[in-house]
Amino acid sequence: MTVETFMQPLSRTEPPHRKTVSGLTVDGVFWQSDLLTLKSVLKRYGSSLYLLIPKELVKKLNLNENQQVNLKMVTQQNGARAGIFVDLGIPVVEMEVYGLQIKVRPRNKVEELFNRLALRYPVIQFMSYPVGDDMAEGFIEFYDAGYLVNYDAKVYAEKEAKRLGIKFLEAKCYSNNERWIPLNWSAFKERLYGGEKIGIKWTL
Amino acid sequence: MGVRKLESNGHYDVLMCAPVMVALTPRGQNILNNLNWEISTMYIKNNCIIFKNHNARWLVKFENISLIEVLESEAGEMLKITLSKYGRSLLIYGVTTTILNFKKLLSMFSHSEINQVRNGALLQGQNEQASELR
Repeated sequence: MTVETFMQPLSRTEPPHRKTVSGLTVDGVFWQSDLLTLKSVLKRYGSSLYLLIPKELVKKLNLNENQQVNLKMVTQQNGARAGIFVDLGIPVVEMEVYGLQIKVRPRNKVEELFNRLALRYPVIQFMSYPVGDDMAEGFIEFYDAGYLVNYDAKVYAEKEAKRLGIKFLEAKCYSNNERWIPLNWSAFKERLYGGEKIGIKWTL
Repeated sequence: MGVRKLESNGHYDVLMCAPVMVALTPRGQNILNNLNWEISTMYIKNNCIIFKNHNARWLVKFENISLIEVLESEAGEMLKITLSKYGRSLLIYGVTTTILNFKKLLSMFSHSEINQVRNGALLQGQNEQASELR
């Protein structure tokens, strides 16, 4: 196949992105897949070849600039070439988390305070546990939702606490960088918490 | 084994809400690889741990927890909660601080010690699948 034929535009009768649900047998393993037909460009550069991946695929695979991937040619049983397997490695989720650590009295109103904060800010998690005489200690954490979110949340929490009759004994803002591996990538992708605020780093 | 009551009203008065990944081991088996991990929101309230997502809702009462273990794997620490009934265990994984805080809460209401177990084979299933494709 020459570069010219590879770059042939799709016929006018076909829609630009034809999507069919189909299967493929590679090395005796059946792959159920969505086959996507997209235009691409193959470019020669010295002894190397550049395959320019369409933006739809880059988006689908969450590829970033200078990201290292392992490529493997996969073939069908009869030896015909079937495609390139792109191994992206292990996805590691990295995100900046902002939190508010509190100590309040009385403890039975903490839940209501957290619920009010959750209605206004993108809350990741909260926790509280009893300490001392009718007091509760805990924290509430938010995604990076913009400039000074934790300071703003602190002011709002103090305002709402006044309305609820809660006394703040301690309120401290903090931030940290969280890092973890989603064990089920497809399930994680379906339900991304906070969407664009989460950074994904692939490690081979 | 078992749990202790902290409050006069019978509640432990602890509250937690966090996104976690959770998996349930098959009935009567202790297989830790090739588990079906799901994303869910974990709530701790009224002496119960509730895992809720768009297709399932699991409720674990504190009194039904017989053993708590911390598994160390290449992905980080995970918590394994063995249920006294049904012969099943729940595996919980999430952001490090979530696991640490969850451990802290569990140690508050549970009599049983939290055992630290090194288990490198936990992600073996996933690794094998990945290496098959390589």
